[in-house]
Amino acid sequence: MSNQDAIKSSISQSIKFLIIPTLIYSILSDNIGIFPLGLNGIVVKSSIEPLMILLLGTPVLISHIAFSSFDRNKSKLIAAFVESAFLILYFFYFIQQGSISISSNNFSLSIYYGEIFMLIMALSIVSLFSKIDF
Amino acid sequence: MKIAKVLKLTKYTLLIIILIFLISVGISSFYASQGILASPDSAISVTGFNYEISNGSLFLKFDLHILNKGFYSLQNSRLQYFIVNGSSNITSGKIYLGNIVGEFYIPISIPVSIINLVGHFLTYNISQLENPVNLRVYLKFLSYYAFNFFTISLSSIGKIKLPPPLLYFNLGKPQYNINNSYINIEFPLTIDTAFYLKTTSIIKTILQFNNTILGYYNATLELGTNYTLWLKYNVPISYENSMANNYNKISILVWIYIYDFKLYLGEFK
Repeated sequence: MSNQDAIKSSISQSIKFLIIPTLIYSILSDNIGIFPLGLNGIVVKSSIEPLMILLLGTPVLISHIAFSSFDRNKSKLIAAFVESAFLILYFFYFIQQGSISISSNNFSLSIYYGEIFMLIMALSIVSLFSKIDF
Repeated sequence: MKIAKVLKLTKYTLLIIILIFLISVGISSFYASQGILASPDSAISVTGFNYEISNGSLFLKFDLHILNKGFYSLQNSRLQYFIVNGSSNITSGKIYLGNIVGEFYIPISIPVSIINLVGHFLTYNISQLENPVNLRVYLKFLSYYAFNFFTISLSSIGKIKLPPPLLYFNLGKPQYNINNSYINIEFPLTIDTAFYLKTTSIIKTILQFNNTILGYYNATLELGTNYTLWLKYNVPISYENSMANNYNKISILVWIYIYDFKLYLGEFK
């Protein structure tokens, strides 16, 4: 992988695992309060914290930069396993906490969607290993 | 085939599965949102309760209406309920509703034990029995959506105001007649109780004069309706003059047994 490809790949990873989730949850959640969507007394709360996304997503990004900078397949394979471990941790948080609740005075709706992240986790890990030229 | 090729094929297969799944869930959720999710407050409405009394329980009845226009079913749906009176938990339970696609009506019947409903009232004094019973009903609809990938929990709170357990209680003026050795005194006692107390009860009374017990009268009593009974006492004739001159010292103590509770209704002069 060339340096340019490595930079592109790292930027793409940081967008996927840090920027987009942080933005989505910042916009959705009233409890974070950056761009709350709550209207007419309806409160929208997400159990995902952007700080946790940053804390768990940063090791994924760092390990991916390492993965991209290695040329030898053996080193890349080790880095891929390390990154996979961080990816599992990262997605485990979503699988555990992936819920959103919408409530007003006399009703509340909670939707738990954590299971969907198992599929996305599998996709991310497979996608990572597919970049190694076996 | 090289491992890299297999992995790439797996990656694109997974990507297609996730995309198709997310798009289909999105479309289904959009249609579903026009039903149950659009007005969750009315979707599990707790207004319009009917009541039925049977075997010492009050059954709160209502129709649950759920409209799921999406093509994924609401799977393994359950309705949890909690009924509380102030800080007292009256009853709680879970009703299994199964899988729901399309429009769904189900008659719900929640049994509430009368003892649980009024038991704590009966340990208070009579004035507490004259207050309406204000219940709060917490309903929680739980379901899985789209192959259990989503869990939905929908909650609603309702209020039920039941009439006071004791609607009316009165001890009327006595009638009496005198025979050779006894004075027969009879007091009319009228008691009107709420429909949900419908049961046969026992009333126990003591007739006192100047703090001396002159007689006892026990009887059975129908609750849940307006009921009048006569409390009958035979008092020795020797008390005739003293009672006539000091009638304000005549008193009747009344206890009523409602289910397992003994309730002192007071001293009446």
